[in-house]
Amino acid sequence: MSVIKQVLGGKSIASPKALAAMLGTVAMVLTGCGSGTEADQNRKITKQVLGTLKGGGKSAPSQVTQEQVQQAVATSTQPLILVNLEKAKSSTLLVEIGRNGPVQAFATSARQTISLQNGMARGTRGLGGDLMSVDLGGLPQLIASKSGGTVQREIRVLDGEDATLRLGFSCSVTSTRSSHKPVLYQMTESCQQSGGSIQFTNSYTVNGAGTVLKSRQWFGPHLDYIAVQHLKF
Amino acid sequence: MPIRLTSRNACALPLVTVMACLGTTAGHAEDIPSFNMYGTPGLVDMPNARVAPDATLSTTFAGAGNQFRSTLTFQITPRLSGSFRYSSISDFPVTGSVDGVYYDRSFDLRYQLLKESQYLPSVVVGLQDFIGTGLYGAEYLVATKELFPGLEVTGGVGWGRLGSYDSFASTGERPAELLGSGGIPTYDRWFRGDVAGFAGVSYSPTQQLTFKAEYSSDAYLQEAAQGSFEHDSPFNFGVDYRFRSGAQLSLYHTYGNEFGAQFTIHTNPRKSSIPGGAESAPVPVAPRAPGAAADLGWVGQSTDGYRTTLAKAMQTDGLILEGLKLEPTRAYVRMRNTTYGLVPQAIGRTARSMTRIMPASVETFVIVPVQNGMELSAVTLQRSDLEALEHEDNAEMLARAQILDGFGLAPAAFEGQYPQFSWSLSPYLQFSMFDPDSPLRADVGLRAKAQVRLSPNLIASGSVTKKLGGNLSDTDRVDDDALPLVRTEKARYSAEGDPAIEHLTLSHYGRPGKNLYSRVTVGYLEEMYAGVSGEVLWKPVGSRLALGAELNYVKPRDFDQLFGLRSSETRTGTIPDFNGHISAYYAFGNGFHGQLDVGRYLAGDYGATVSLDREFKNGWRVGAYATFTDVPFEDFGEGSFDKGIRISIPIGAVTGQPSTSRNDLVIQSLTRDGGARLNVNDRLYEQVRGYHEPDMARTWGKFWR
Repeated sequence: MSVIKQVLGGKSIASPKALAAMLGTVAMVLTGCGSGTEADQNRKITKQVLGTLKGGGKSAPSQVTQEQVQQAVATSTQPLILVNLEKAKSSTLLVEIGRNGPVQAFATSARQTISLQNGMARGTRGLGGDLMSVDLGGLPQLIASKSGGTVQREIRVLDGEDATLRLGFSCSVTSTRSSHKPVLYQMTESCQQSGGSIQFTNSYTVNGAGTVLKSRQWFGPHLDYIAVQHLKF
Repeated sequence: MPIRLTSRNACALPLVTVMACLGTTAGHAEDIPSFNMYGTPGLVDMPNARVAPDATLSTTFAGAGNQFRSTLTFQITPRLSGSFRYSSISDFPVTGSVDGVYYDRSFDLRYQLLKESQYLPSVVVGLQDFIGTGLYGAEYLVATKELFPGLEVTGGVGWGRLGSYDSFASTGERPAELLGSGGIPTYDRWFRGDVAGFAGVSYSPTQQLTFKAEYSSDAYLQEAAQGSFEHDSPFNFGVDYRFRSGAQLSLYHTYGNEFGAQFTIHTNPRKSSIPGGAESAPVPVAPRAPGAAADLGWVGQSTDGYRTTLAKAMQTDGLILEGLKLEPTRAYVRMRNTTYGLVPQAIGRTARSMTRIMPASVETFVIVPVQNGMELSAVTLQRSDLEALEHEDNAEMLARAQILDGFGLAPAAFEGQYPQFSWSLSPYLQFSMFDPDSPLRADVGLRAKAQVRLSPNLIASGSVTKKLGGNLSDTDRVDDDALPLVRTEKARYSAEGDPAIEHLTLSHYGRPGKNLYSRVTVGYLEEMYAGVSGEVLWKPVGSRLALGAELNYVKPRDFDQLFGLRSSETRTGTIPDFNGHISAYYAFGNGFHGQLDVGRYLAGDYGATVSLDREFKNGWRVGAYATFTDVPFEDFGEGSFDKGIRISIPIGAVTGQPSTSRNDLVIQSLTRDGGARLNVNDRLYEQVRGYHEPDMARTWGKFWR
């Protein structure tokens, strides 16, 4: 984690909408000082809102420089990814902090996580409007064998009421060999919501071993598209 | 007609401000119809048959000529909406007016009978001002149809006010006398008397702009009879501008001689803030290595290390580890949640930390959330389920979780944790709206609070305020009351209580048995009363029904709100020593929650309070209540009986940061002496319910968040 802190200076990635919502509610918070849990909680909220007011709004679209990437790759002992939140126009480095079965959890220094299964999105936490969980259906098998086909999958998010929203999709997957040396496949996954109007297209660059090297995926209605590049496995 | 709007929170702000803050979160603005000057879907002054999306909460300020109206409208269900309106009419020197300005409140209900289809229009039936003095009283049946995209026509028939211009028929006699002392439904008038037609057309060339024209069936007879109001034309015209947030700004030309303006903002509890919240990520579940679960090498060794590590991990998540009991395959955690308004999130974060810290042989986690020393439930989770389901649908984890009564399951609190002392100092704002002499009154000041937890169950707590300024106590209203003055000396308390001890109490909470919870509070219970308050609650952990009983012995406090008591004798009678209620609480399961309190109120009157709230998963609540007691309506005075509307806003859903605080707004008829209850702090039901199965299942989506 120390690598990341150094590189990012502890900055978090936040979407402009999240910032706007927090700015809009700053007037709600009228608080004082004290000890104990209630006061702590008020302080935390105030700090968060004031922090947002002070610098967050201006610096929200932050980009990682090439030097930062090189430095991180050179010093990190853990798997590393570079993600780009297209909607927030911000990019950041995340380092692996845990594994559970096939799922790797990557984190920023600001306690935000993205969970991937061989590069395929399984969830996010702390980004705001998080992707809560994903049923990938038959996609892992298609990616591993670099072959086309159709899959049924489900994406789950929380809605504005904090109720679980389950979005089902039918997806058609194509695979094209894009490079022979090294062996690379360009795979796309076009999805149409079952009984709804949401559409998205994910793309994956897969090597000969069936490992996703980079991708651009839809992370749900709020986060929209996030590009992920695997810098270190 | 005065109405009090109260708020019980350190961060209390006027409703208007809150609504303004939330105005940005309405969501799909394009679905929200144009609102009229009455603050309901409509044209200029006339209603139409459009319906706002479910749960839309709209605030409208509108003025034209001598009329100014502010209206709060809530879409209670997809077809039913309710409105509360506070209006002022100038140049209207009737009884009760102040300097020629007459203030009035009114309530409306609208129900959609028919949804618009390819050939049929949307049809709505409405009752306007059906419960107040009936000044705006009207009933209508209205239909609206979109002919071409953006072009809508509306036609309807109205009674009462809406049947007053050029009526074409009559349906019986419309009585002029009010039932009771006002404030009860004017059912004897509904759909009676003269009938007139109204119509209108609206055209929206773009998403931002709407042009409206209407033929009004309201002749403004009463205004014209009283003052300088002139009704020159039944035709009204308007143009709306729609902001991206959904807010509506309108300009009008009305009655053939006046100009008007309107501003409406919308919010929706179902679309609040950032979906799922913006709080930082939880720690990932750490699965055990295969075979590790067989290792019992740690048993018999000191477990202090586990305690320290787990306490620290939980502290990072804003949770308090109060006790831990480790068995070879089972761990009991006593947890205090001071951070998460939605309890499953507190359980989920505790469980995640436990997977990283507990010895590998521990397979079963029993998490017992405790508040004020009461075990509120016991959530039993299998560690292998947590490992397997971390990235799956949260419903799978819910299906495997067991939520049991926590009675006797919490490990003892660690030694040396008590007594605990905490304090806070914060500004406060108290306000009262709608008093005719001064429509907005407020006090600002400082509030200091301190609390000592002597043991997990025994809490000494106090709160002192010091006023810095304000005009809350300026009111000089004197009530001719048939009841002892149990609440109506509020102004004197407000004037003399500076500084004031808001409360100073010693409370004991307990679990007398399975399904049972208890509270005893002694001391200065609230600003006006001191005494003893005892409560018992029966609430099985899986039940949607709870029953409670409360008995209070009280004496009125001195007006200076310091340590003295005064005699129970008042100008109009003796305040009885005993009051109390039995209560039934029921979660209907469809988002509605009801409460019935039956008993003896402060003034010795017997009766019942009925409350109904729509509750959202994220914690928003919008509801209404009414109290009926054996006090005759004419003795109760203006309003006939106590009733009000309340909105409870969870701070967490608004800021995107988890919080257990909420901001409660109560729009209440003028505080009177009938149907008044003791305001003791920390009644049991609200403490308990969030930790029980029905509420947890509803908010389980936050478990893995």
